[in-house]
Amino acid sequence: MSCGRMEKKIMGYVDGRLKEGERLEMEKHLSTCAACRVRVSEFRAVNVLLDELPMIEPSAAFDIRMQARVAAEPAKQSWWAWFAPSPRVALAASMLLLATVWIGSRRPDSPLSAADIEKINQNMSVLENYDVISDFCAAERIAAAGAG
Amino acid sequence: MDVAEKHPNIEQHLIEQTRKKMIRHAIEKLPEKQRAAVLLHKYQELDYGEISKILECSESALKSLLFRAYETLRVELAPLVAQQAKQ
Repeated sequence: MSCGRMEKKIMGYVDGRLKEGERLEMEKHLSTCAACRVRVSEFRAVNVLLDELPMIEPSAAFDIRMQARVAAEPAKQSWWAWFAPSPRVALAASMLLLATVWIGSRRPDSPLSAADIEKINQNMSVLENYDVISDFCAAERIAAAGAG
Repeated sequence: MDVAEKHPNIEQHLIEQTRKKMIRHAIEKLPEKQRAAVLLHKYQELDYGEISKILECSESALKSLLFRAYETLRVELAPLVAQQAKQ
C-alpha cells in the first residue's frame, strides 16, 4: 500500500472500522513508513481531543438546511408500491361497492307488478277515455233533455 | 496565600477551558462540509454510508473529507496533539 492509498483507509483504521484484510495491509505499510505511523498517532490524538468536548450540536443554520434537504427528497417507491393499497383508494372503492349494492337492491318506486302493467296496457284505450267516462252521467242528461 | 493555593483546581480548570476553546475553535474554522462530516462521524456516531447520504457524496469522497479535516485539525491543534501523542 502506498501513502496515497492511506488517505482513504486511515480514518477507518483509527476508528477500528477496517476489514481484517485491510487492517493487516495497513499495518504492513505502517511497519515500513515512519511518516504514516506519525500521522496515525496524531490522528488518534485528534480523536482523543475531540472526545474532550461535550457533544457538539450542529448549528441552527446547518439543521435548517438539513431539514430542508430531507423535505425536498422525493419519497422513493418501488414499482411494487403501485399495488400497495392506499387508504383513500380503498375507501373510494368500498363506497362505490356499497352504492352499487344499494342501488341494485332498491325496489322500484312503482308498487305495480309486471302483470299489473300488462293489464293496464291492454285496457289503455279505456283508460284514455277515463275522464270522459267519469264525467258522464246518463240520468242527469236524460232528465235535462226531458225538462227541455 | 495566593488564589492558586486557595483553589488548587482553578489553574487546572482554566487550562481545560482553554483546551476546549482551542478545539472548538479549530472545528469551527473547518470548511462547512468537513465540519459536518466530523460532527456527524464523531459526535452523532453515524456510519460512513449514513453520513455520505446526508452530505450527498460518495463514501470515498467522505473518507477524503474526513482525512482533510483531521489533517487540518492536527495542524491547528499541533501543541495539544503533540502533548496528547506523548501520553
